[in-house]
Amino acid sequence: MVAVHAISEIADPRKVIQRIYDDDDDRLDGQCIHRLPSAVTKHFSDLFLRADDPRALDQLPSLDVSHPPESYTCGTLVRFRAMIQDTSLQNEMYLAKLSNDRCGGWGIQPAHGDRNFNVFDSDSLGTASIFWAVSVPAESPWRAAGFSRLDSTSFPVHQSSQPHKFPIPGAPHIGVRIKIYDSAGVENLHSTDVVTFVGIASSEPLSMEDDSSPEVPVLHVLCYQVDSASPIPANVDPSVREHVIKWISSEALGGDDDAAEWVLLQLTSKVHTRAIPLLPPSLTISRFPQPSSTDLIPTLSHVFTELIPQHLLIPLSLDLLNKTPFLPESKEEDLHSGYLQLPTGTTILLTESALQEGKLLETGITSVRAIQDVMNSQTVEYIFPFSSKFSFHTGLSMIVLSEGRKSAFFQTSVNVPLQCSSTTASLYKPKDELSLPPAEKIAIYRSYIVACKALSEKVQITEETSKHIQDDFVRRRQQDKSVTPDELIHLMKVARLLAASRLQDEVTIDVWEQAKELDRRRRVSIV
Amino acid sequence: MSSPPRVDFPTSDIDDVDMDAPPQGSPQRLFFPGSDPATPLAKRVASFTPLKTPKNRRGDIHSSLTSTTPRRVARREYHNDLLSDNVPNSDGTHLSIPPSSAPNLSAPAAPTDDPDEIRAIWGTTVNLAETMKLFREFLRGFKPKYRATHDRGQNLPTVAFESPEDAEVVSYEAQLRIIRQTGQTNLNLDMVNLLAYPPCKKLFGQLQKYPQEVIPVMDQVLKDLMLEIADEDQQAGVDGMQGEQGDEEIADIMAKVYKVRPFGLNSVNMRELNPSDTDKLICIKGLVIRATPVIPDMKVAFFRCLTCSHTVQVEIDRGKIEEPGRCPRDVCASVGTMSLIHNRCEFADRQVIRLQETPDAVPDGQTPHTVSLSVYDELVDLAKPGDRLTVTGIFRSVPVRVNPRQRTMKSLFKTYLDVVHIQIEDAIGGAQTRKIRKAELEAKLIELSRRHDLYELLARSLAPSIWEMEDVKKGILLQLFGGTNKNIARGGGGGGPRYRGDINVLLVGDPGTSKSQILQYVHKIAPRGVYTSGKGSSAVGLTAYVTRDPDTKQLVLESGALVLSDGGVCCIDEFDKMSDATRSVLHEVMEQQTVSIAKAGIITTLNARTSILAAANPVESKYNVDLPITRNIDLPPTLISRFDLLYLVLDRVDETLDRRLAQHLVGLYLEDAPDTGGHDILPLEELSAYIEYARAHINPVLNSEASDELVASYVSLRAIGANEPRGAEKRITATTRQLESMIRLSEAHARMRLAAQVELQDVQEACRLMREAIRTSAMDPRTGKIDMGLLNTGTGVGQRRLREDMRRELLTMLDGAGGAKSRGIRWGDVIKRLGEQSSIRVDAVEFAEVIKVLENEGIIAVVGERDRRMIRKVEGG
Repeated sequence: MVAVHAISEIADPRKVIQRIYDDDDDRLDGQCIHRLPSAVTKHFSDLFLRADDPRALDQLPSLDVSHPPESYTCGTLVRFRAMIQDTSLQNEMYLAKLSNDRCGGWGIQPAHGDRNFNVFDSDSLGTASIFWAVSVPAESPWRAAGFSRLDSTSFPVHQSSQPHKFPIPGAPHIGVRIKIYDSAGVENLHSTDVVTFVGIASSEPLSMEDDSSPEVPVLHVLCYQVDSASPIPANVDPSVREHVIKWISSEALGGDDDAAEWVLLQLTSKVHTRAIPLLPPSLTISRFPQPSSTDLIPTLSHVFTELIPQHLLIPLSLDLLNKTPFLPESKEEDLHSGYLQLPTGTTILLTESALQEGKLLETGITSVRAIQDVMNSQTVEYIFPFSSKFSFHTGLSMIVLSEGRKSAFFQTSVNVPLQCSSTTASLYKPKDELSLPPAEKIAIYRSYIVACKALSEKVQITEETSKHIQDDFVRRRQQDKSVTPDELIHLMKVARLLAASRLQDEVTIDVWEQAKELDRRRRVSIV
Repeated sequence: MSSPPRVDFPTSDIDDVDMDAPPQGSPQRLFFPGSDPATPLAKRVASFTPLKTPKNRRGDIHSSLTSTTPRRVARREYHNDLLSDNVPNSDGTHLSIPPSSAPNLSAPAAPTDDPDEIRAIWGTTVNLAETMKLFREFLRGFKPKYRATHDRGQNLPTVAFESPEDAEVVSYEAQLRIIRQTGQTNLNLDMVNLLAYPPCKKLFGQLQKYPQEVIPVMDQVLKDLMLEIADEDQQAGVDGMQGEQGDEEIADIMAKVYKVRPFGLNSVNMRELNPSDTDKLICIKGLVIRATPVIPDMKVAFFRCLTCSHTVQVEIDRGKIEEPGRCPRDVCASVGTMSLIHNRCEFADRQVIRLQETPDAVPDGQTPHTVSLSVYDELVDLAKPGDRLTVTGIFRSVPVRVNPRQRTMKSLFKTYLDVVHIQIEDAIGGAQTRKIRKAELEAKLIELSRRHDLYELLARSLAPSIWEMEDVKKGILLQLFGGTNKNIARGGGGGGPRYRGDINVLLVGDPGTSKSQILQYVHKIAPRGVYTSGKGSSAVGLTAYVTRDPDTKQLVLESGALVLSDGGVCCIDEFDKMSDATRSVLHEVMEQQTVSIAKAGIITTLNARTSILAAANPVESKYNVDLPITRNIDLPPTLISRFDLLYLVLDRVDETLDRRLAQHLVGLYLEDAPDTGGHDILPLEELSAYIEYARAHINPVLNSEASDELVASYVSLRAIGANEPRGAEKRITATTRQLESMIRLSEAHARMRLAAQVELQDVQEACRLMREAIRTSAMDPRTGKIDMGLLNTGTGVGQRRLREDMRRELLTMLDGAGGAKSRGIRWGDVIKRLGEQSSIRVDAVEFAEVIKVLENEGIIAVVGERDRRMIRKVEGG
């Protein structure tokens, strides 16, 4: 029943808007056009964003890399799961009341010679908020497949008209101008938020005033939904932990279980609070052998792609650091994107194997500093002219692979030397040689990581353990002057993550001792 | 001055006009002698301006306007097909297209400058004649006491009048006289005063809702009043207004265009501007990011028919000039013969500014929005990129044409602001805050300053999350207040040397001692705080650089961190990792407080009156207590000595301290129960406001008691070294630089108390802080004594003695080895043999220093490389 109804909506959404407008009972009070946007939002939310039926959305065709904007005719109702890239675009005013009792907005064009359009008063104007959104960068294929069919279309690869507004240079993506007519709640849409929009696909010139400017895709939004955290999977067996560690270790780390355990802790961490900085750690896997050829991708990256929803590999090289922007920067009032403008929860794998001797230029220094800033404080600074305070919170997990004793550029909170017991080639085996566990098992692995992440916020401590940790610290400091408060903080963070990875919500003395032991083994192997 | 009878047309008359008739709204600014005076058209105020008077054409008001067009009724015609409709000369009666332009501009016809018509704003009850009357009353009647009453009514604190007379002054009449005497043409009108003056309350609303109509009316009243007052003054024989002189003045006023520039509205966030604000007066704040060069804006275009030489003037209409398609003269009517005569057109200055939201106005997680401003006439070039502005203007929205050459339009509108008033925010800030709010804040801050534990409270509130480090916090607190800048008026040139009042602080210490956190915190609360890391910033980032503006392709100067923090605090982390080039800039900044630039043909000196708060790590990342500070920090002593306070932040092992720390940390990181220390602390904003207030208002001077104490302290600080029992070693304990620092710190302490004078207690605290800082930084590790020589030359007395011993021994050794004849002694051997003789280990670096000095003096020579180096005595040495 609902489906049949919905199909008619998909066919001609603008007609539906007009119908909603017509249905407003007291149309004469002049406020009608200002009530329309929220009525439209409500109508379409009820149809497509149903809490009781998450599949309602799936009825709609999806706008994505394999279904680019040009594959839809203008006026088609589509859904678009995207990351908000630019929120600095100026609001737009549009004529909300056309003649013959028609409503405006959502790309509805006035009839030729529409009189209302030539003679207007400010009461008949509405405001739309404008955003630029791009397809979610660095999303793992399995995750993306959960939202749309990844069948290939006959359309050629989409060429984005604004490639500088996508964080990953050269990656296929689509960028769309988003117009939201319902102003309620738009102030809660932030840069890098991932949002599912439902709207009418269309296109218009890039610049309002210059007709010769290229056309950009436009989505006139009817309703939208900010991506919430995935539901916490119930009943995950804590023993999965060992399986995940073993799998990572045997496939990608040459059998080094300790390194795999640190990687797991890194994957399950997230920003907890900023007041007292409880941020995800950053990890260097040092002594990671060089590949035989610089363009080989470490198997670890393929493993991440399977395990976590968002993962990005950045093969650092001088050229890349010097030439590719890492920070978003506003140039001539257009916010250009940078590598670090990624949705919260993305894990970034930085490899240093392509680094050569050479000069790091100004841009390069800024980029290195930007990455270090993310590691230290989980903030990304957006560059705006004459302002130095546009610092945005982020939640990016950083793992560095380095051949040397430590990373060439970065101070990470954890450094684990790899103790590889197999050949270098096995660390760089291509994706198709990866021995994947059965699909249902991989699904369990994925939900296990989600569960750990969710739990890491809830970890508590008992009075007794607290006392134990304090005594322990004072005692160790008496024995060894080099024990610093920073080390205590580090161990406590590790203990927190370790407890969560065992799916326990409490740091016990047992966990504390294990954290110490894990860290001790790591320190020993560094020397 | 006689005033002719005013005729009031009932507004209903006007309402009768058919709305859909051909637009009546085209500008009626021009007054034609031939036109029917009784047309029910609202005549422009300016049409009544007297002979000799320039037309009162304000870009901000008229630029895109349809003057007295009714609002609600309200329609604007954007689709003019009839040529005649676009000619401003048409006032709707189609009667008065003048045969030539001459009478219009050069000889306005109205013989008097008195208003003789009424206007009303269509569709409203606003009667412009009444508005004029009210505004005249306001200017003639407003007294400060009204404002005070109003403010009290709003529960806002008011400043008491010094005498009852002060409250009774007719403020605006006095101001008009000043305007006349100084030859200005602008009256800045605080709109709150309109609200405060009971008879004129409704003017406030009218001005806000219909600025387009009301401002020109006010301009007119202003001019009338200027003339009236001048006339009165002439009658009364006021000084400078007698006889001919007075006539001249009046003629002068006649020739001028007076403008009322309203301000004082509550500012709104620029992202909240919406269609209902269109054509209303609004106020926003922001940061100028771009400004175009001055654009000559055509106000009136002058066309001449190539066939019959008939001329026509076309006025700008919504930013466009419609070129007449054919000669308007019926006899001629040739098509396409009207050509523009450039030098007879009228132009005005115009500039487009892009204003961006300031970081504090942007909601969390959002990027800043930008709006366009159109500024005209005197306001052009007032604001530069980088300035923070509070702008009052009329919000416009105009439809966007699909194609500039076409008349069809999209259903989209572009918006901008026609600016009527600009206020540039002070470097110190705060100037833009409304006086009343300021008064309220002041009262609160003054009350705060009376607390006996003020000093401790403020220090505690600074970075409350950081453990201990009381003295460091106190030092930084005083840095935030700063000493007073002094110019020596006597002496060469206009102003003699400037003595900086800014206090520079350096923190050196072990990693993980929250230095960076302190810096980040200061950056947050300091006025104009800039945070930069020595590692990442090149000289460019810290100073200023030259780039090409994308719009104009001109070279422009962009300020770096130091210039941006002029009048504030520049926080530099990882100071030791800074490049030498950048450091050399700092030498200039820290003493001269300027940055010199010589790049791309631009040679200039920019002010950088900034205090520097720097943090550095010791050379080997962990502080080596056995080495003097200069060996621990890799910084040139010349730079170190420019810091007033130098703190060592060391990590010490102590059981009770450790236990408290562990408790604190475990609580913080695992129990989610942060321990605030149980003390009351000042919220960040209040602390910041307090500092801003003190910096802006308090400039304490030394009293005699304090000067004596300063002298005494300085003498005693110097004497510490002199009174050594082993008096042989005169050590330098304090230099004049330290005396200057002491003065600055005392001033800062007095400023913190909001005191006008520097008193004894201020000096005592300053000396204590200095001693604390010196004790930890200039303590000679070998003797445990304070030694400023360590900072100023890099070597301490103890060290110098050691070197002399080493030098003596070395020379003896070389002489023993056969003097100049021998091949010399191996480097390593010398060290070994010296080590055998001495009770302490010979330091290789120290040894190298000694050798270098001897080599420079030409006494010895070193030959060979690395391990094979041989030292031998030089002939005759």
